[in-house]
Amino acid sequence: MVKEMTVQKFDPPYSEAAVADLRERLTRTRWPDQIPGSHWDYGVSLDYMKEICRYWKDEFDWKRQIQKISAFHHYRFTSCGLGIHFIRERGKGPAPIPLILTHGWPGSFLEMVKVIPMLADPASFGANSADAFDVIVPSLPGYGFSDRPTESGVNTFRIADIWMELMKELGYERLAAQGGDWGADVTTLLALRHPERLIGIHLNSIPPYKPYLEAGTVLSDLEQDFLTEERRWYETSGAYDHLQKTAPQTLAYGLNDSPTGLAAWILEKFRDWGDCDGDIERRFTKNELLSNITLYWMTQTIPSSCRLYCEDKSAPLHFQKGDYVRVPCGIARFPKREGPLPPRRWVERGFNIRHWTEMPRGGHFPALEEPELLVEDIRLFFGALRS
Amino acid sequence: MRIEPFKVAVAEQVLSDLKTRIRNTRWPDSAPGAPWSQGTDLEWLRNLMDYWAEEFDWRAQEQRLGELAQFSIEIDGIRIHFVHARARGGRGIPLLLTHGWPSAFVEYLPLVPLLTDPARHGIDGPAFDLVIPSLPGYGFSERPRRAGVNYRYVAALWHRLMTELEYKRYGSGGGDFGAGVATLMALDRSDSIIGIHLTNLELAPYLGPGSRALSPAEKAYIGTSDLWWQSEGGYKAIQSTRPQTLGYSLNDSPAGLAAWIAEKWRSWSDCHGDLEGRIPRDFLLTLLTLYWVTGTITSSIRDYFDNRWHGITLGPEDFVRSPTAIANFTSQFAFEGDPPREWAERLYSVQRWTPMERGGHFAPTEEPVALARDIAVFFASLS
Repeated sequence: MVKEMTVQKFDPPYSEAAVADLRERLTRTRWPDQIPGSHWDYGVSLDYMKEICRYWKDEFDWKRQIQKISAFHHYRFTSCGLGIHFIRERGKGPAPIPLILTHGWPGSFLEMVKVIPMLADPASFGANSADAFDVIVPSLPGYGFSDRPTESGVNTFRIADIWMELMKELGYERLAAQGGDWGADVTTLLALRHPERLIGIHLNSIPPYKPYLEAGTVLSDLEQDFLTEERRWYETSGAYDHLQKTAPQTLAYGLNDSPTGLAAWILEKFRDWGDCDGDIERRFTKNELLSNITLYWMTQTIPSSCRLYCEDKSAPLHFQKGDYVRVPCGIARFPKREGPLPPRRWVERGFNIRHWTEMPRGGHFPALEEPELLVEDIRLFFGALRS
Repeated sequence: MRIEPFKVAVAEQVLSDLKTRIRNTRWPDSAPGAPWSQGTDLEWLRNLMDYWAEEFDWRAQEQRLGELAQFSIEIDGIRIHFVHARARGGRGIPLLLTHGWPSAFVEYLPLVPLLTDPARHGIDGPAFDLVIPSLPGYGFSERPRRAGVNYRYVAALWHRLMTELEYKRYGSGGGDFGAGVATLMALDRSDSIIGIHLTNLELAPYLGPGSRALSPAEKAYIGTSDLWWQSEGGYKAIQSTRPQTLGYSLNDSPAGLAAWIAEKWRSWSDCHGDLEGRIPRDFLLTLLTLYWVTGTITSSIRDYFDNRWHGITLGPEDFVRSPTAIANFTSQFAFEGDPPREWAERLYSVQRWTPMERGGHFAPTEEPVALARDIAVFFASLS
């Protein structure tokens, strides 16, 4: 019996026809109007949209971006018929430890392009080669070059199990994990469900989890304030979540058919969640923003990516009695995130916090925004766990 | 403020562009699970879009609309479009009818023959002079290019419209945003209002200090509404916080627009999940074509933003003294709750309360006869 090849090399695809179709659609954009002077009050500013979409149409070079991405080693892994794309860069050092980095929404594996070489080959960046990692960066199911699930049930629990399968297939018995946004949920579940295989986890955002609270637990004032703030935040800024959780399909038609519609939906989040004081390009270049958006466009994954919110409804990260992340946890708390910052006490209820860094700057996408700060913190945390 | 005749006439190029876009739709995958469980169903929508591009006859609809007397008038610097259908055989009771979202003046057209010529349709009651405007930013009405266009603003606009038409006292009716506008007309211009007729309750009454404790039925109603909000309220959350962001896709993709609007007509009408069993396909596509050719989806959803952040707050003194009729059409497919009469009585002098056995959010199109009868009986009782 021949064992099925579950890991295969993969080349990021490029299609000239798809680029021509995208340009054609951008040329034909039917713009909405905007209230003069309203800037970003009602959502993404029309002036900014026109500017970035003109660049997208006339100057952005997707082929060049694909070429750059192709410098990494890409593979696809198949788990129960579901293809998972990932990058694997082997560490250059005496004893690299495997590290799986998981992105979130509306990001992609492209968030990690700056940190991959820094983590895999620290010596080339003036750091110590003893800190090298074997870096694994998968695309979440339904994101980027991973398959789009056709059945329900591919939630964060399932994804964590697929990640463990993948790492085993790559020959890693013990591993480190890191993530933010959905990546923080998946990383938390790796540690919760497979503690014996995890060296430690590092999170750059606190997942929207609920710790298990014994009856009669009194929350601290800071925790109460946080929960109140979070509800308030949800009222003013949580609509994307509400919608993606309940009616992702209704939203899908417009976003999959209109590149400008897709761009607006994603750009809003980079501006709101990045540490940019409203000036999105202070943090992200047009090429960075548009590479991510073009990836969503070319792979037609905005519907499937939004569906993860729907999947989460039936499998939320609510800790049950006895649920506690025992493996060492490192938290890098960046000052800007999608909602209010959870206090340490709230996180300690569910996580074995060994390392907590208050970052001076950076937001929801630190691998793009503050790669040096993030990488340094990852090295520091896992450095202490290397033995 | 000259009143000018108005005729619906869409340029051929706009219609052919629409067809091209429909044929070029980049369809998403279908959602896993039961049809419609994650939003508008792919197969259903593809059928509708095929029909829209290949068979739907907009020119026939245009001709039908052309049979109605329509006008435009400039008030407060914006063009307002309205239908003016006078009572057969002389002056009737002036009645202004206002639609809501995601709807248009066409929702009210089934009432036109019934109320302008009731006798001919076996309806016992007075005849009406109907004024059916398009809300600012919907269809052929412009929306002021500034924030703060709320119920109160529209109420004042409508009063000026009725004054221009030389109606001193008139009735006002509506559902959804239209119910909010009718309420504000009665609050702000009670001397001009004969009575108001609502098909659903848009505004929550004042519930602050000094108000009566909630009855069990009111508590149950609020409970149902909250559940409805959790499962159905995503559209409202986004439209009241980031309408512009949503507008880019809906104004650029006919499929996106159709999915967004059709989902609401299915959830809110009394259709048991079979939208086309309740609402004729040609009607639905007339509505969608209106939104598309006028490019007004973005301006229409600004209503949610403006009424939330630049809206009105009802206080303990706010009470509608004008006679009020409520025809309670609550048989929505996605049940939003059954408001009890005492809930309505917090805000209105309820003189007529009619629980309707059938019909949901779009009563004028769903149950025109039942609604016309209720309107006729109510206004007959006031004259």
